[in-house]
Amino acid sequence: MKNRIKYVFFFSFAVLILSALIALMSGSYAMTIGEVVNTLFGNGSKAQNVVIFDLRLPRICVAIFVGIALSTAGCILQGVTKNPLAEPGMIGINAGAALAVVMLISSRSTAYYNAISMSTIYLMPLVSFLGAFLVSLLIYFLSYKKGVKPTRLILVGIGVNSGVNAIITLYQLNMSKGDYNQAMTWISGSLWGSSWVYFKIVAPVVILLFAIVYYKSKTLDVLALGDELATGLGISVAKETRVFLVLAVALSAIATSVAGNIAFLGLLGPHIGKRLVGPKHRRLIPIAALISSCLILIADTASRNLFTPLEIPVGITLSVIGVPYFIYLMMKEK
Amino acid sequence: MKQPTEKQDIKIKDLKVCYDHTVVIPSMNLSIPKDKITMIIGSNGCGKSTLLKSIARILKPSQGEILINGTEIKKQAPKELAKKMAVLPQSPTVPTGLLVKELVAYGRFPYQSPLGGLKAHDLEVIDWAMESTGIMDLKDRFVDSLSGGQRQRAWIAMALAQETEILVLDEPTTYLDMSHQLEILQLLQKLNQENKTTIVIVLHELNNAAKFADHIIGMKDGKLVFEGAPKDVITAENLRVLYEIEAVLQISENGEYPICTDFELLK
Amino acid sequence: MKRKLILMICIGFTLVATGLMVATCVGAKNISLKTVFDSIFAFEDVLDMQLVRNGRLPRALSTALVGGILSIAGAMMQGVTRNPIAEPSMMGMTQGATLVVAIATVSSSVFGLTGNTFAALIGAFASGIMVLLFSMQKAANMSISRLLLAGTALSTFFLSMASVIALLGNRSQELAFWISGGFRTATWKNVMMLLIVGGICTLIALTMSKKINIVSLGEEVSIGLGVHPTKVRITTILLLIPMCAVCVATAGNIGFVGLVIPHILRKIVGNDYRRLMPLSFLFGSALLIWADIAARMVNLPYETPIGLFTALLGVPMFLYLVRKENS
Repeated sequence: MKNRIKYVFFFSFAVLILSALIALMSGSYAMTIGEVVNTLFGNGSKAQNVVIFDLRLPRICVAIFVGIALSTAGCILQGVTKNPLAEPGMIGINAGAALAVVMLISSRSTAYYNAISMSTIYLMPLVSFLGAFLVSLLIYFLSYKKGVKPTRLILVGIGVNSGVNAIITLYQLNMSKGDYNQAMTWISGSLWGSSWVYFKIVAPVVILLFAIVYYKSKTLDVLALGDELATGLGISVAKETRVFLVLAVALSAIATSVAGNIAFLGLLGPHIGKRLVGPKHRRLIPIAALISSCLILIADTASRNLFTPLEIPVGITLSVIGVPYFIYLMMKEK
Repeated sequence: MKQPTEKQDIKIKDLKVCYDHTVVIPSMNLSIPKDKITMIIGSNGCGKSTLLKSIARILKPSQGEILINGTEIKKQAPKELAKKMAVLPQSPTVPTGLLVKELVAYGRFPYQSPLGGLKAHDLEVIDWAMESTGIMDLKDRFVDSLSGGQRQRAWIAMALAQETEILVLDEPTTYLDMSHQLEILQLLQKLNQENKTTIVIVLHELNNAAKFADHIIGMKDGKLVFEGAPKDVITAENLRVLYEIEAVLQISENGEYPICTDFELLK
Repeated sequence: MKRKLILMICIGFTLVATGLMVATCVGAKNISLKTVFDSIFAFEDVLDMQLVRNGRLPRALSTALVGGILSIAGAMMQGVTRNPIAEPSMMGMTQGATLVVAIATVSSSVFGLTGNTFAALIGAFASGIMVLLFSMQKAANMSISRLLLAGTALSTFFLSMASVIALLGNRSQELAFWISGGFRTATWKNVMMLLIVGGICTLIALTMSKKINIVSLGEEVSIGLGVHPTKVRITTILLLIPMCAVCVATAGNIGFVGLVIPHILRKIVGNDYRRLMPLSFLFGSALLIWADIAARMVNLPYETPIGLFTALLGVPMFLYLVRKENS
């Protein structure tokens, strides 16, 4: 078992490196692996430097952290709710962030995406975080009835999700085409335009939250045994549940603030991880994060290159992969 | 396993428990003896599980105190309490993809630091717990692949790994056939005798309760009807009050406990 | 009970009738009731009458039919899945239809209205099969949250796919219109389609109400009573497929109608599907007629998407149900 876990880690890490390399190479300005390595070591031409350091590398780094954040949020939600299908993208958190961004975009209809100003780059993550946070509060209060039951939280989340989506649609209808396309990337989730600025916003927060969750991974294990046993083992279930839900919300909000509404990533990573290393969160959380990062990288590379010059939002690609797996899970689960 | 310095006991003072707005236990005073097996019996909805859940701090009482070893449970840190008292609920969620030995290792949770692994002593206790429950052979199996009786023993092993002097179980024999019921109860009896563990059980089966209990508590409508040794309290008179039945009783062959051989509903 | 029932029927008919009248009279240009009647019974070739005959009348009738069909579909789905929150739009069925409609719209070989219906039919069929697969699992496994998560996942999937198609066809904003739903383009052809396909299915559905009653009691009970729940489920969902398809082909993706109406009615007339289903049709019609009037009038001269109104009613209802179910 110990050995196997090592192999799994090593292998997923190798896949991550490989997919990062492929992501660096491919695109409208294709590069060979030699050129990429050369550029990385500082020997690239001016164009190569721009492509690698200003465009592709930040995007890859942001993608990895988005993967870590969403996968960890998924681990938490599945553990706390004891529902293997729970996922941050489906319970309204991400939709809240998208709504906030859509409102921002439509409130200043002149700011087309080809003329994104610096203030917008900073403003969008902030606004989106605010949206995610407010919607999470709403979900929390709506599901509060003598304490928050995780199942109720999920169901309320699904309801709020569809409500928020209805409002988003209303805004979309009244938008100009340019605004609409920009809004689209947020609603479906996209890494388009990721820069080092985004990375600087995401990375520290994600690292911090991830560390906290990892530190509490044993508590998450015990919570999965059910409220009564967890109480017996010395956990204040209500309090810990609340803490974990806050962590999950924060993680998905920060991911959404830079990448928009990406669904299924929080489901795929943890599930594949569970099959590989079992349900103990101490092993599961890091492996799931690795797998989710690989997935989003691969999906993003595909989204950029499949229909060039058009780029499809990575969230869409992920749901195309995610749904069949989801259905498979539903069918298999007895 | 552990050499007890001072035995833990459970005392209940003026306990009042409500579900929503219905009062389940109006006011209860009770003391559960140390080192003994105590069984709580009563008809459906009499409040016996509610009592147990209050002791296990799953339910918050609206009034009164529950003292463990002289200190109120509210005032003890949850993890500290978990080192004194292990709780096994009626039908726990069966985790998927978890090995038996991993499940039993969860019993060491109250003793572990957040990031630390299992220490030598932990492993010793885990082995001992699996040994005494007879699931050593199953330790590399998945919990969800076990049969009902095996699973119950795995849960008990987890509770044992908590190294507590008090063990609280809510209907541990439900859904088991007669021989497995006996197996579990004998296991608990053995634990009680060998380790002097104080055991509190809610049980439905009257004859099993009478056979294995040192102390029986009868409850009706959230109130204490009787308590004492099975021989003294399992009487036709008491059962008439408790279950509203007319019971035919006889004493077991060794003369130690009463057996209910037949019963009729009260006319 | 009987009096209550008659009262409900009267209220329902009144709502539908007044709704139809208001819908034809009121709008960007108000038209007198007399002109409306004249345009039906004594048609003259003037603008007002044309407007009534070719615009408002088919639109009003379409809303009535779509509302009724969606609402009865919701009631049936809740019955056979024994899940109070099941509803075609929550389960991804209407989104599946939307996806294929998007494909049909983008691909240049558009076959017009029949093409859309056909496309919606394929989509509804595919998603219907999936819903069927989910609901076929043992009742004990079908917790509400599982079914809903599955539905949400499916609709996310279908809508994402539709977005890709629209994006590639450079028609993405039109998609938003499809998703939000509306009756802007309703014609007599739509009405005929709804009447024929929807009507037939609804009638068959009504004959099944007794069986749905029994299935709603649970797996074991219904087998014990000699009704095979799986069979009833399959038939029901097969009926739901064309019903949802015609609705989506006419009006796009309108959610929550099938959730709101059956639930309010259940409170009033109880859980007997023989009463519940026809009443659902009636009140579903009423709801959508009035919602469409609101959609046209709130922000004159622009139209507000009707789906927003149904969501406005539906989401709180949904939340209320969830809170109640989980206590």
